[in-house]
Amino acid sequence: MSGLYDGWILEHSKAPRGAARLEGATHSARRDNPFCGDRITLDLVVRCERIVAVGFEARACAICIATGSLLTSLAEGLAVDDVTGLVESARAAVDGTAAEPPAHLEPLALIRTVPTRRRCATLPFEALQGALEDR
Amino acid sequence: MALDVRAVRRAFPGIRDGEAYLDTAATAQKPEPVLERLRWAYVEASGNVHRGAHRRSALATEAFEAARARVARFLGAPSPQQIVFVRGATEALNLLATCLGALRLQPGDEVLVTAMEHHANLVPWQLACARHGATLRALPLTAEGALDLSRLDDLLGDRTRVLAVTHASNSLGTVNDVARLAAAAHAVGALCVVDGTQAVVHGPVDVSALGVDAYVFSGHKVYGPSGIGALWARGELLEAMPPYQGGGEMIATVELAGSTYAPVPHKFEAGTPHVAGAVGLHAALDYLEGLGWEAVRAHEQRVVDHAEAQLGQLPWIHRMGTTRPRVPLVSFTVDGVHAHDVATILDGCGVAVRAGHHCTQPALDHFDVAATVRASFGVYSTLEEVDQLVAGLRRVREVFG
Ligand SMILES: Cc1ncc(COP(=O)(O)O)c(C=O)c1O
Repeated sequence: MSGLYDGWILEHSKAPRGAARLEGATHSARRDNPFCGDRITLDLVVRCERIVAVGFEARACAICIATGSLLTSLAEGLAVDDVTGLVESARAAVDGTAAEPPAHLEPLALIRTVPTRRRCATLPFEALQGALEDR
Repeated sequence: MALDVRAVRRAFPGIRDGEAYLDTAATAQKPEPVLERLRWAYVEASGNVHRGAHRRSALATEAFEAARARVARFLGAPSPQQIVFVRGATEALNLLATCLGALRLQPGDEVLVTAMEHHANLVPWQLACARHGATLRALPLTAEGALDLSRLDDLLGDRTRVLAVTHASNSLGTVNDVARLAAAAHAVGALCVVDGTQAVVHGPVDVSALGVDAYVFSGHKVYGPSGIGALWARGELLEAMPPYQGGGEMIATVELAGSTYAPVPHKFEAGTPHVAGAVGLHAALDYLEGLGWEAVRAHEQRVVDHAEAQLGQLPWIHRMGTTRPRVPLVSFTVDGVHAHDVATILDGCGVAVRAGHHCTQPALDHFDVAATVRASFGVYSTLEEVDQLVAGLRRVREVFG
């Protein structure tokens, strides 16, 4: 676990970006991790098939909150069609199936060192995909 | 005689100095005698039970039935024929909810559980109630994490058919007065089913003295193998309940038009059972009782007292479940740090604890927390391990500053 809690995870979890529900959200989803009781609710504002704002509220661990925070910067400005790609690459970065994650997903590779916590990091991405699919 | 903890630790190859295993309530480590008997079962008693005329089959059958008698003695059951081998407490409770449900539940009836049940003693009753049109009720908790018995009279009534309650809570440590609860259930004509999973490993249990109707536990939590557990129920209930699963072992005669069933307990044991598991469980019970309950209790109490005293010094720790008597575990939250992050950092300090809702979501909802950290102790736990936990918790606070 060396390094897990001395870099971006701690920073983002202490001052998460976009950690609030969005007024006027066009899409929302809630996801639970039954393993640990983490819960995240993610809101999106989508205009012209593009995500213009992301907000989330989490009752969750530092890893989940930090990944949610990271996600908001990755998803804002993204075309709806590109979300599946982002979610898949994020998952691959976390579980190690992508040997070299792309630079913007590099931080997620840290989670590989704690296999029991991978779901904590993928939960926000599940919520992102869910928000677009749940409708 | 005090417990010789060094000797105990040497008997457990999974226990190593420097690594504090404080998750015995999730699953206990296994002592050598259990591992040896598992090997014996697969090497020597390596035939199928109750079939085949050869030596290995006879040996397996004999060992399996000896394990049944051992479990009966462990629980104070009147007869080995009232012990059903199952995969674990979860399967035992599903069996009871399904088969007692079929026997007893009618539309409009009620089942009473408690807000501290493990999901294994809650979800099967939800399913049974849905199947039979019955209603599930739950006895709430007090602020200390005890059952709120002042509500018992309201909730237990002449529509109640079953009271399903845990003997000891795996997330709060609370020990329930099941004898009193069983008497209250019987007074309204209900049956009392007890989940003994967390209780049997910390002290002697006598189902006859408790006056309950069914009692279950898992082997892996009493220093035995996983995949084996036991269910005791009153003989007349086992006779009256319909079978749970169909297949080999559980039948008397089979014709295409229909079948008759084997006598209890075999009626509830369809298919090839976990013979090695039962043999290993037998060895685990011998080992545990061989240590002496007095010694086990005194030792575990000393460890948990030390943990409570140490944690009590840390103002940023909040404990859930503070009643007495308790089983030796402490459940708590750390100010400003999620339980899972605590557990991951502790793991890095060589301390294994459980974090989460411990399969008792309603109990944690009662305390309005999503997850707690739980340190649980067993016969091999030491005061030094508690100190290692406390040092690890200080580290957690440093990291999260
Ligand atoms: C109180 C209690 N009941 C039931 C169970 C379920 O046991 P198993 O998973 O071995 O079937 C557990 C295990 O976590 C428990 O602690």
